[in-house]
Amino acid sequence: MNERSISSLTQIWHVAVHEILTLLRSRRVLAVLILYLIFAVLGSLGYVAALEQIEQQMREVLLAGGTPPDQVSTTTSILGSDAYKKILAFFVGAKPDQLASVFLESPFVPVILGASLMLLPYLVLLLGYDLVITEVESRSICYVALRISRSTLILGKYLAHALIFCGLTAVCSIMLLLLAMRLSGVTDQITTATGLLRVWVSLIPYGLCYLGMIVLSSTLVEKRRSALTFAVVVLFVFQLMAWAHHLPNEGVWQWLQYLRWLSPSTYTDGLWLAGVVEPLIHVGALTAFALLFTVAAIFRLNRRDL
Amino acid sequence: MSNAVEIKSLRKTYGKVVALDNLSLDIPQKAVFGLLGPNGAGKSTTFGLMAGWLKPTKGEVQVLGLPSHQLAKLRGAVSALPQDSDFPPALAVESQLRFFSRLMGMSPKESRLEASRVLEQVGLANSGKAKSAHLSHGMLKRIGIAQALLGNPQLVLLDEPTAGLDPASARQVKDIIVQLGQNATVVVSSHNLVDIQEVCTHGAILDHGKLTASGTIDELTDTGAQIQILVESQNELPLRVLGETFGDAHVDTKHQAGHGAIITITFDRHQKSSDITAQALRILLEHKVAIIEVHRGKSLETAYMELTT
Repeated sequence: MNERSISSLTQIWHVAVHEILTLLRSRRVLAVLILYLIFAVLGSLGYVAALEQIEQQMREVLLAGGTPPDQVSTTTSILGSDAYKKILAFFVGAKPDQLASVFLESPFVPVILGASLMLLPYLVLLLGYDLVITEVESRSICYVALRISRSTLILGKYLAHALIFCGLTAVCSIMLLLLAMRLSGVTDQITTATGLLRVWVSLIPYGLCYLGMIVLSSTLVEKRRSALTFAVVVLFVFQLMAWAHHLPNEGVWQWLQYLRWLSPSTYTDGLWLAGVVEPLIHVGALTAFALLFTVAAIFRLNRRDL
Repeated sequence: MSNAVEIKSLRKTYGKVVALDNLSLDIPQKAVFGLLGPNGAGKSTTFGLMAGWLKPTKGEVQVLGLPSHQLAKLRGAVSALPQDSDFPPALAVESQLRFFSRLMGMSPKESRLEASRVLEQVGLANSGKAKSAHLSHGMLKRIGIAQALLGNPQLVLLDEPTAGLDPASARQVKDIIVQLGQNATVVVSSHNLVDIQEVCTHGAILDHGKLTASGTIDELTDTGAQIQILVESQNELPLRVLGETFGDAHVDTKHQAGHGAIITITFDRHQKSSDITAQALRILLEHKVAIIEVHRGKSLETAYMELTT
């Protein structure tokens, strides 16, 4: 690595540190952490409670039907049963035997991944929808743009948000693990921990992809006040594109179905799958989207007036 | 490289609005260069193009030998005070200045010392810990100037540096500009023509996106080719004698509303202005005309009004 690239990396790091300090002072990080935890905890508790309720009702039915009590608990254990696999596979949109085992062994892990896949794009958006346009609108970017390239600025801000994202999801995963350990029904804590680790690792490319999208959208808008709306619309359009495979399989609709491959949301299914190759292909696709969005953001910022 | 900035056939449009049209301008090294013009003349656009914040529609800008969009490569050799720019409100100004210094390659210790130095230079040594949200407009302007002083800039672009400052602070800023001009090229835009005439060595006047005049301040004000004499009397005789001596076409008299008149004598640049001045004053004194003031050249304000209206 030559001196200039080291210097650029150092500048990216300085921008990232500065951005993190600014974000921490804005308390947005705390708000996002609390929101994420509330949704994840409520979702997990609700999901576990629902499973317990179903088991309880089954137990009562079996006992009323004359099943010996010692056989009832074995019969009613939903977790690990075929029915549970089928329910989970239905939500994921995969075949039951394709699911990774970590999602079948702990009720917490799938609900955390599911909730994260649903919520995180919006939390990433909340954290950074205006990360470039604020500086352009206030013209504080002018001070920085004379000292570092615009690409360095984007990469530094991206790194800051990526680190915050990784940190937030890690903190949440640990807190959820602690919660899981205190709750009855989660007997195998190592399984839960392994599952949460996999969820966390899977969420990194997913979060980075949406982060790239948000960075890009914040370079495209002209005014800060329209940044949030624009980012939500962009996110919604991409999620809508992922639904294109539900379109009728005829005429022009058939061709529109291909739009789903242009949406990152399409590639989240792979995060649930067993094995290495399938999940890696989907992770690769999400990483490629992250790269594409970030390069587009750099291109856009380099071409626009400040 | 004899010029710090070389602008060639520059055009900038915003939609259908032409902000700059075919502007060509050279700014010599170590000059304190004033950029003048009425609102909408294209001064801030020119600044933005020189600093690389704006992309030219046509033409090119070379700054310290580099195209303006590559100025980041110089890592702070070019600094600027943009117009109407803010600092992040939640950060202390000192940490903001340290951040800029770090981007320029300074160590943590150097950046701390440098931030203190520039804050002291703009008279805000005690405001380093303050958040920019808590500072007045004038203080923020001085913080903006402070960041432009970080490191050892070779070119400093200051857009309206004295706007909104109290007289003492404005004086301080003008002193800083003069001091900077000893080692660096400084480009200043201002509506305050007295300030420009006081601190600048060179200047250019823009109007409706076009260059109407450029050169040294002496050239712009015809300092080597004109004298102005403010007299008390409105007596026609000495004026007639002056006309006979220097030629009617070279003597212009404007009578003041109250009493007295301003006599303007123009001459070729190869003639010595001291000789012309001495001769004119002798004639006036012989006719017992009370002389109030004598100026070499016209004021920059007069030149500006002639060129922009």
